[in-house]
Amino acid sequence: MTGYDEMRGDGPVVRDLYAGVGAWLDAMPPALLSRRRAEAEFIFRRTGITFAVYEEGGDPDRLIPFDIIPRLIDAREWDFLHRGLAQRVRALNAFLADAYGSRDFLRAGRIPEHLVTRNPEFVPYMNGFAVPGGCYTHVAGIDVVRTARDEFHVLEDNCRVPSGVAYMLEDREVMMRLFPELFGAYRVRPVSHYPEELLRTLQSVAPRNCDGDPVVVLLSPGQFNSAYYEHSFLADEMGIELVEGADLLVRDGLVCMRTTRGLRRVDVVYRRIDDAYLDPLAFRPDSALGVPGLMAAYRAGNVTIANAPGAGIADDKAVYCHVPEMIRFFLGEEPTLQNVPTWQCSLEDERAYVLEHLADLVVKSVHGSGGYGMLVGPHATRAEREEFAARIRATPGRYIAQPTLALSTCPTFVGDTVVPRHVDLRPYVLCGRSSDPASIDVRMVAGGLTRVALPAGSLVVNSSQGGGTKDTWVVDGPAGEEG
Amino acid sequence: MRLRIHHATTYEYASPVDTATQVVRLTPRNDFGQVMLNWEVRASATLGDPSDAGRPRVPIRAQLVATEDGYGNRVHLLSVASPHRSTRLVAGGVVETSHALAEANGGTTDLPLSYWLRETPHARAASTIQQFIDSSGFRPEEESDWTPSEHVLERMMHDVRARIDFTVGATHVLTTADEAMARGAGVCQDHAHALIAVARALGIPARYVSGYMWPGHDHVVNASHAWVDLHVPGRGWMAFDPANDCRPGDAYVRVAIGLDYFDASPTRGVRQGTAIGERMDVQVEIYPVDPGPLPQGAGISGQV
Repeated sequence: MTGYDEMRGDGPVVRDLYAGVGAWLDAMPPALLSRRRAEAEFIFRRTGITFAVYEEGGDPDRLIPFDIIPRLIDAREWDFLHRGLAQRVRALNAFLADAYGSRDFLRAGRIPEHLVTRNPEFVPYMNGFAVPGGCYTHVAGIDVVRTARDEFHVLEDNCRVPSGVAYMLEDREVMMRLFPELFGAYRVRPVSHYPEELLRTLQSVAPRNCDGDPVVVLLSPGQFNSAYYEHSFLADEMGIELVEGADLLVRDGLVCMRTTRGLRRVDVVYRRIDDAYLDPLAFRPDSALGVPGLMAAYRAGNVTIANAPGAGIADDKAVYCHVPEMIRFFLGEEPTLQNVPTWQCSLEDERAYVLEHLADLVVKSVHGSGGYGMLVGPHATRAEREEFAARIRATPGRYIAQPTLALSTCPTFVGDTVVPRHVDLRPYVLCGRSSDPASIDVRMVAGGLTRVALPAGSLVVNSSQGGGTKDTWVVDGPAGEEG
Repeated sequence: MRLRIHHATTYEYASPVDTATQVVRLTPRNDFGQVMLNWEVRASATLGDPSDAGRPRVPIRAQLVATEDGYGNRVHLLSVASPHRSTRLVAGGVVETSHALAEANGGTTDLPLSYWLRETPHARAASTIQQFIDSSGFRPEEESDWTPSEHVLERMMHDVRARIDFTVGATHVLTTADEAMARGAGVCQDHAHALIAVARALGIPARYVSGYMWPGHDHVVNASHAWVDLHVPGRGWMAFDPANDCRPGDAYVRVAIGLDYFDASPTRGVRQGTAIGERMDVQVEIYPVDPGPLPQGAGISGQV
């Protein structure tokens, strides 16, 4: 499938934005590119940046492939994305506050009630609780795809524990080391201050009764988690403690961390574990993991949990269909960034359409993520499509379908040639306490993580499905040029 | 009716446990026309062998922090941060109860009715409950937009009770509704789970209620009790006590609601350190104080 190319647009001519990259590629023999790629891989291996894949027989220390050709975004494109992302994340937070509060959006009939009340991610403990600063998604990862010069769509919202930001930071490090001359040819907006911004965001939502500088910790499930590298990396960069459940305890209603010098109060828990493992006394009793009493301490106003428990009701693929309406309802604005048109298999008419057009559509599980359990109709066999059709008929509420989008492509070094490969973009949007109590403070570093589908023609960019990453440059123009 | 309640829970361990954290729901709700006149929850812990009367028990700090959960239940968080051999929780006070069986739907944060149709692992209509529903004829086949009458709900409660004998010891806290019905035996928690599972499977919103019941004698007791709220369109929430096959009135004190036992249980906790030889003793005394006569004698202890 051919569509918009990040480097060449719709035609054969290289866009001005990519002129420097084009010249650099022309001057680089494939052998040198190969050598540089090997050097990049060596650096990644030495840093220990790996991504375990939940699949039998998978290499637990697999490296996510890194592509050495950067993906560029110009200032005009980024301004547009920035505006759209901030708007969307504000609306998602307003929706969450409403869903666990007065539920005006439900009462106004803007979303089927059961998508909230019977959503497996709904956390009743959050009902009627005003979260510190009104922030639910302290870190949101919004997956954006481009289908034409001026067409960007949001493919998916990630409101729970979005990962991958360490790759954004490490990719930049490696590019600056390996290709200083190319990097120097552009005025690229920095990303390295992300950990500072994240820490500032987390500190801003400390409980009101916090005395002194807020103590923030990163709560990880431990070294067997696929994103453990990122957990230790971020904790390190922010200069905060990396803890597991057993390192925390609740005493006198306060959350404390065991240290060599005794207990120390914790004000903000940046958790990278799922809701179900936060607190065995608040969630299902079959888990011994987590911090007993954490949720009660949270509701007592003695600690802040980021992202807020229950934020997952905003990011499943059935609720996704209603985000444009959230933007209109809560902000009184028209969405800047569009959704991908989506058919909901729970609706009879739309299901009939989906079943008739399976060969053209992408079908996704409503609560799935990571590219698992999806069907890319045009790339599937007849048998695979029939199997999926049976699944849709059996449990239609679990599936949605979208057109197979012509995701934009970006030049990528595969084997020993430079070829176009499909990409998406995951910017990380931070939400902190605002001085205006009716609002939240939304910030982001320019760009995000570009994911690239390495097999020819593939549209699945998820790292769990063999996707790679690229450094993402938001550029203000060629070096030396002002304005 | 004005009821005085005294609820004491004691945990004793054969060897000291290092720390303990509990989430405690032992404070009555102010709903269904029920008003708390005074109430107190206290906790204490000691080190030293509880069975050795000759040696002094060392008091250990046991801290309670009050908060609430998403259902409007009053919650206390208990933490005992140093080694101890026993913990005692005492809740008690006076509650004015009411005959009101229906609740005016109040605050904007009341969860929507559809929430109360959620299945949980313990209150779920698996095969036995499903067969029970199929053979019951509660729902007329021809009516798709069916609204059950109060009478039908009472029959449902009666039939659930008829299928599950009241038998202490036949089930435990993790027994599911389906297992209890298959076994044909259980306690109030099992009756409540079973009725909830049946109701939700038929599209009737249902809540688990934990609380106290005064059975109408002079001095009394048993453990705390559990029953069910069902929602009837046009009428609101109405209470049903499947364990006693009756409709709760002013002899009932509502403490906590939830989807099932685990949401509403009086105590839920974890300990660190080996808790060998744990013994839990629950004593509940409940009696009317006004206008009824004051009771003579103490309560009967019950172990759950």
